[in-house]
Amino acid sequence: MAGKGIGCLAEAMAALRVSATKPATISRTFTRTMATEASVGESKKPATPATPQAILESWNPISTVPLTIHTFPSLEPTSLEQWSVNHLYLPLRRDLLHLAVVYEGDNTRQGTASTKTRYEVHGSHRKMRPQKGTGRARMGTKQSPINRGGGKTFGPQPRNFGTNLNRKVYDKAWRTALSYRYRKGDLIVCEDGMDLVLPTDFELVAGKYMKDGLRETYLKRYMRGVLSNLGLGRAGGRTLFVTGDRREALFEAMGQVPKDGRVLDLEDVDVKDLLETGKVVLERSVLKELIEQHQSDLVSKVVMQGLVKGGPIVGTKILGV
Amino acid sequence: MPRIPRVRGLSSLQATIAPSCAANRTPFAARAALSTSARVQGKNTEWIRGKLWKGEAPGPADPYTQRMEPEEVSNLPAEAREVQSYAEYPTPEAVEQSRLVLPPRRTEAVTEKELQSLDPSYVPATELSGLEQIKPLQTWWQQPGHWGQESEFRGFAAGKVEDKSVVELYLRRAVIETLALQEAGLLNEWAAKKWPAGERAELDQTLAVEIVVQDGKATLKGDLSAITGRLTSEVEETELAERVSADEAQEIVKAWDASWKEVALNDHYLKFAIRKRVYQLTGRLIPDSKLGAARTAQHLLTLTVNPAKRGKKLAEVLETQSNLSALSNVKVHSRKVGPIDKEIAIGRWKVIEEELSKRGLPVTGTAGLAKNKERDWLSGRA
Repeated sequence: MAGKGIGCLAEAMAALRVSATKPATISRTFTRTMATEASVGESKKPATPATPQAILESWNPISTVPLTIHTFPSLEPTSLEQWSVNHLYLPLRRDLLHLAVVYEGDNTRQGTASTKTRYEVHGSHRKMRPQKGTGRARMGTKQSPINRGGGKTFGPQPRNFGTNLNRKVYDKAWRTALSYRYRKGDLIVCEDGMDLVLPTDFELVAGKYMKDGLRETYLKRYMRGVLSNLGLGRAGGRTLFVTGDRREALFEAMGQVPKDGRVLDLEDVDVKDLLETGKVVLERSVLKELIEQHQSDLVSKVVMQGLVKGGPIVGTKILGV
Repeated sequence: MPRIPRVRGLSSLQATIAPSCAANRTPFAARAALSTSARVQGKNTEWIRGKLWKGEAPGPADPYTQRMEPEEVSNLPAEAREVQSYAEYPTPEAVEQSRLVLPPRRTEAVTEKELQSLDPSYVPATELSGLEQIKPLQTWWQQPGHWGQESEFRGFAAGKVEDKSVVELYLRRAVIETLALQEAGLLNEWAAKKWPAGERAELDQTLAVEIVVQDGKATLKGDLSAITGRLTSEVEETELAERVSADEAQEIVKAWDASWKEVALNDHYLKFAIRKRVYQLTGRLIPDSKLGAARTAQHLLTLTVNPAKRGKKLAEVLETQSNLSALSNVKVHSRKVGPIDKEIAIGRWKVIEEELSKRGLPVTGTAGLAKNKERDWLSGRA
């Protein structure tokens, strides 16, 4: 058997050798790709695309896309970085996003709905009335499901609604969601340590002399002003802020304006959250962390020559501080 | 055998209680006066009190016979008394330093009698409407005069420009300034820094520079050193100058040759600087994906100004098709036909509206009132 196998292999190798010696031009004449081929002959200079859609479609970055880093809350651009297209410029895959959102929804379900069956309802199992002679229907115990106060047939019981999704699919969905927001221009990346700067006049008196809800109403009005100034408020379809950890001023102020947006910790963000609001404002370190956590389909676990193939470089600085 | 043991003891109870009853009790002062030892003791103990307190002793010499002067008794609850005492303190330093307008301290109103001596014309209110109305603290910052400039947020850009020609004008300014810096070799150093917004005269001076574009390569003709000098000077926090009005911008833009927009933007520094400057001047933040796609100034303008068009609604699509409108028994509405639409169609709605308003009833909705409960009572549902 083994000899036969080796024979097959040798035959295959011989065939390869033959095909390698063949001139490449011959194979080209016989094969044809499924895609429609453009005629090579006319190499005209393409006319300037007029519509925004055409301009955007004419841009096909091969390796990297630019990403501007801003200060917060003034949103002054301070530096420019390059990020891999595999991280921030993936094509939109609605199916992946749908899978991820459903997966997250399933796993967030509490699953604590609970009812009692007739065997769990408390009480005596005495027969309610005689089997015969009352002129009424036969009847057993009080706990019967047909009685008020009786057990529930096939009622809900606590259970786990969680479903599974392949890690690589979920991770790709994460980067697809970020890429989608990037393409649409809804992704704003800010410098690390993103927090709200409150007016000094407020800071002087806020702790001790603003009571009875005065502080909260002040923050509400101030945060509304900030968001509308930056175009991140309700008119722009709300904003999601994501920070590395809890930033007191930002979290407190955003808590006052739930209609204008929300703020989340790195641990609390899901794919669904990224897709919900009009704009997404991330810290640079948060974006880096999110990408690094969700690139299992780009990173190999196989060690070759003592090295593991890592993913693309996460963010290279081009200019700025 | 008596039912309750020691009945005799019980019968004598009343007699034993009676003398110590409150009504029969001898007044404190009288009892004190009867005592013989008190006054003598007072004289004898003065020296020891002096020793104990080291000087003049507080309180009366004999606390048993002499009573302290009664303190001023207030009927106010403890909280109110505390507030009164707050009023005597000076305003805290932090509150004085801060420019925020905070609510005044709580004060107790002057009584009616005192007020009449102060203001004889005062007449107490007899109706609710006669009382002064005070808005709740929740609306403090909404009330006029309470929210000042010190609480206004100022970002990197001031307000968003909506007009197309104004954006084009400022884009040209940004392109000229950036190219001028590039020619001077200062762009790499200055691209990420903040440039002064500049006055109106500086805008005119910048726009006076001519851009000549040949195969995407731009050459500037004009006084570039003045522009670069101004941009690289120290930034002072100045109020942003008044923006050019839409009409004025339209006229200025018309005068330019459109070829300047063919200038190629193929450098990261160039694009970044232009984006930053355009955002500073117009409040329009060009997204990175659009910035990457733009290869000329014209692209940048198209991507910035043209709003994303929404898709057509079904009603709009159907309107363009003639096959449905040609049918006599088919009508296309842009939204769902409701009861009001039906009434309007037969001309009854204005009558209904009039009658409802005549009775003071809400024209649409239920004015927050609950549903007819009596019907449920009658039908035995509730």
